[in-house]
Amino acid sequence: MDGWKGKLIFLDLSKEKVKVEPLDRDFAQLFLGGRGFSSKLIFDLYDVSVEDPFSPENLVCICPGLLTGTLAPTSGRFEIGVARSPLTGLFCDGNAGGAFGPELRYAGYDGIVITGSSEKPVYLHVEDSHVELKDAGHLWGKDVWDTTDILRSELGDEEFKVLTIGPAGENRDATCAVLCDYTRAVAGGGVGAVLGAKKLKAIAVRGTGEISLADPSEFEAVAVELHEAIRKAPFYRQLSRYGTPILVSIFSHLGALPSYDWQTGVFKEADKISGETLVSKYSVKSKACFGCPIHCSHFYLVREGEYAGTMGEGPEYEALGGFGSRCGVSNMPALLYINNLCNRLGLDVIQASSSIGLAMHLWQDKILGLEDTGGLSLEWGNHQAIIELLKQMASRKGFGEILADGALKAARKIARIKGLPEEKLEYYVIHTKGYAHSNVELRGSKGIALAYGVATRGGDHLRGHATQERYASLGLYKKPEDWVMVGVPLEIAKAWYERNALDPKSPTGKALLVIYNENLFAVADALGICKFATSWQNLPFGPEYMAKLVTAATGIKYDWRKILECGERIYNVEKALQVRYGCRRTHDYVPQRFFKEPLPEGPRKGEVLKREEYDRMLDEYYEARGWTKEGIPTREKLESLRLKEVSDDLERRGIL
Amino acid sequence: MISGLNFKILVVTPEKCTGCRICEMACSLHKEGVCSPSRSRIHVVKWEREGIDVPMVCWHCEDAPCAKACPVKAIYRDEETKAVLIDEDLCIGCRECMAVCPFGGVVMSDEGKMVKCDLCGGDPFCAKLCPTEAIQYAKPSSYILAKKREIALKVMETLRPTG
Repeated sequence: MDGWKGKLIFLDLSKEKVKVEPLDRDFAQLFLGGRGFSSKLIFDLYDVSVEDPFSPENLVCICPGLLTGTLAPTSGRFEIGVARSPLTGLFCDGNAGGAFGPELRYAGYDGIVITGSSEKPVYLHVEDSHVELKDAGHLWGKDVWDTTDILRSELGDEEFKVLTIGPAGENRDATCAVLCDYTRAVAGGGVGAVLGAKKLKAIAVRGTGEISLADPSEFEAVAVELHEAIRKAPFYRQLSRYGTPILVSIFSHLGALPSYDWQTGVFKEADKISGETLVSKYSVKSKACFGCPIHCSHFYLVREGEYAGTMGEGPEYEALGGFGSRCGVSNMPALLYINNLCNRLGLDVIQASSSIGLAMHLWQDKILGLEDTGGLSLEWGNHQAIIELLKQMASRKGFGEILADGALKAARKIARIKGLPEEKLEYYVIHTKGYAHSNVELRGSKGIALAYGVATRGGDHLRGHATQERYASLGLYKKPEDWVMVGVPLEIAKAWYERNALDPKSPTGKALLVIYNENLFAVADALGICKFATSWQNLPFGPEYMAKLVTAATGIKYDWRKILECGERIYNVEKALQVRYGCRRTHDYVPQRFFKEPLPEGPRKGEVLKREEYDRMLDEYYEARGWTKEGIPTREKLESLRLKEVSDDLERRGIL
Repeated sequence: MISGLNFKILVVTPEKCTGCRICEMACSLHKEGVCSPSRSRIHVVKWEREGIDVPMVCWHCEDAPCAKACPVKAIYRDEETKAVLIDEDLCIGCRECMAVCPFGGVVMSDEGKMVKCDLCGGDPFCAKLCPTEAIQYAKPSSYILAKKREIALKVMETLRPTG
């Protein structure tokens, strides 16, 4: 089975049993790997009547992509899906780079399916064909970095790749992450807390095998061409020098840098937390995930001041925007310290900063006071308080206990404590489907707003985020042919222009931009490659390159249509999953504040989303997807994607 | 005459290495037809907590211990590329070369063959795909000149007339 490893590990923690099963070839061809595998396995194996995310029946799938660990550029990624997220109560997922995914493939596996709960802490030791559950009593309570060091040392090989939860996951903090390689975080709606409830502390993997390819010389030729194309692309230089932190200045320039918990898009001290400041003052060198020529990450060191000695890898824009502008912090060393703290405690910077940003906002509005916070002052910019709150959240102590359930549940809980109507505080929370948004301004970006609303895992930037309209408005692309340079098939780009989709003022055609991205990103996550290498960030890794590489890897013929169809298939399975949990049209709306509070200042002053316009975009989206007006995939659509069993399932449940 | 004015060598600059390991994939796919760090001649040794990455390569030593230790004289220097190579027909698989190499540059494959870097015949794939020039295939003289220029630039900044 060239391309795939052909094996899945099934781990039942209740029975302490490990089984290795062969991978079904038809399943593999339809879903490719990574997110395709994990989403469909969850659809097939999870009993929806189980509502408690911490029940032993909850299901977690960890799957590297079909190209993970190959010479394909950016091929280091792996996916983690969870049937019931403690953050959203729905299906959720996330993925990360680093070298864990590749190592799992070299050990011989396309994925790990985890069910059950252990009575005592355990970790999974995978060393090629040797798969064993081991006691992790000595690791419980240890942070991510120490756990990684201890496991490498006791397994006697520094080449072990360790995926682990920190104290946050152990204590069922819904804003937690799972980390590999010390700093590569899979957020996934608190999937780490599910692993914590299952008492699975870590997975340590060492693989000495290989990934064999159907046509190695063709694979090599395409991969080399693509490496060179990425390195020659006009935007490569900026992305490789600054990484995502460059977004601080870009968003600030646009007046769209979410600040003070989304009350404005203007942060006056943005230059202090910008990518330029990071690179000139704190970066020691560029760092990369496995197989990635873009190297968007940095190793940083704080040399002086209160946080002197802080060193680590990152930070992503979301740490700088989330804890920076959104919490009013302009102290870069503090943000780097906070980034390290999140990595060590095993926290997701997006969800954790959303909880804290909300608390600061409620403090500003005098809903919270010293008597509620245990004496902590939550003034904007108080980085010492943020640090204390993160520690409290990860250990579920003090006021942090309330924030550890994520921003939406925290708002409801605070309302109950303060005797206020829940809707009043829920109004504050910038979330979709319970998933707090990443730090991207939606007022003034119609297509991006739609993408956040309809995203299957909840509102974030990694599902369909339509950067196309932003680039087009900056004048980077003027005609359909320009998009071919970044891998967009010509007929797709033509349709965008026919529908006037790229005009930020026009609501028409946004569905097409979002759907293209959603399908493309689903495939990227199934192949284990990074969305940064795609048109999303003006780089050329598009569906045609994907098709060529998959064909050379597997020996099975794929073209760009078939590749995007795999993405559409994966997306429909995820939508069906969420529909099965009860998600309908109302769940696909972005938060009310974006419809009611115009931006008060700066270049985007007055921008606000219009409800009727959003309704029309949603109608257009559902229609183009082949779904009903309630956002339910139709039998016709599902069967055309070879998902008859999914439509039968929905029919049995009375949904279709 | 200073050695190395006229032929290229692999030059490694760890400060530029991002730890991406593309070199390992490039090597194993190009030389072995599979993607596998275990089958790569080059390996990046990492200390993640300190952010340090060191690509380890065969240096094709001028006074190569592997060649000296080889009891059947199977290890020789290629006249054109100056690479230190193994003549598979002569090699008896005694692993002496592996034992004496100070850099771990020679290994034995599962098939019992001694494996080491051959500079891909003068176009090393690892250097070609390294995104940051942490691995370069360059004449030592031009590499050293570039290094001198880099340091001189810093000196120049202090000497630049002002006002």
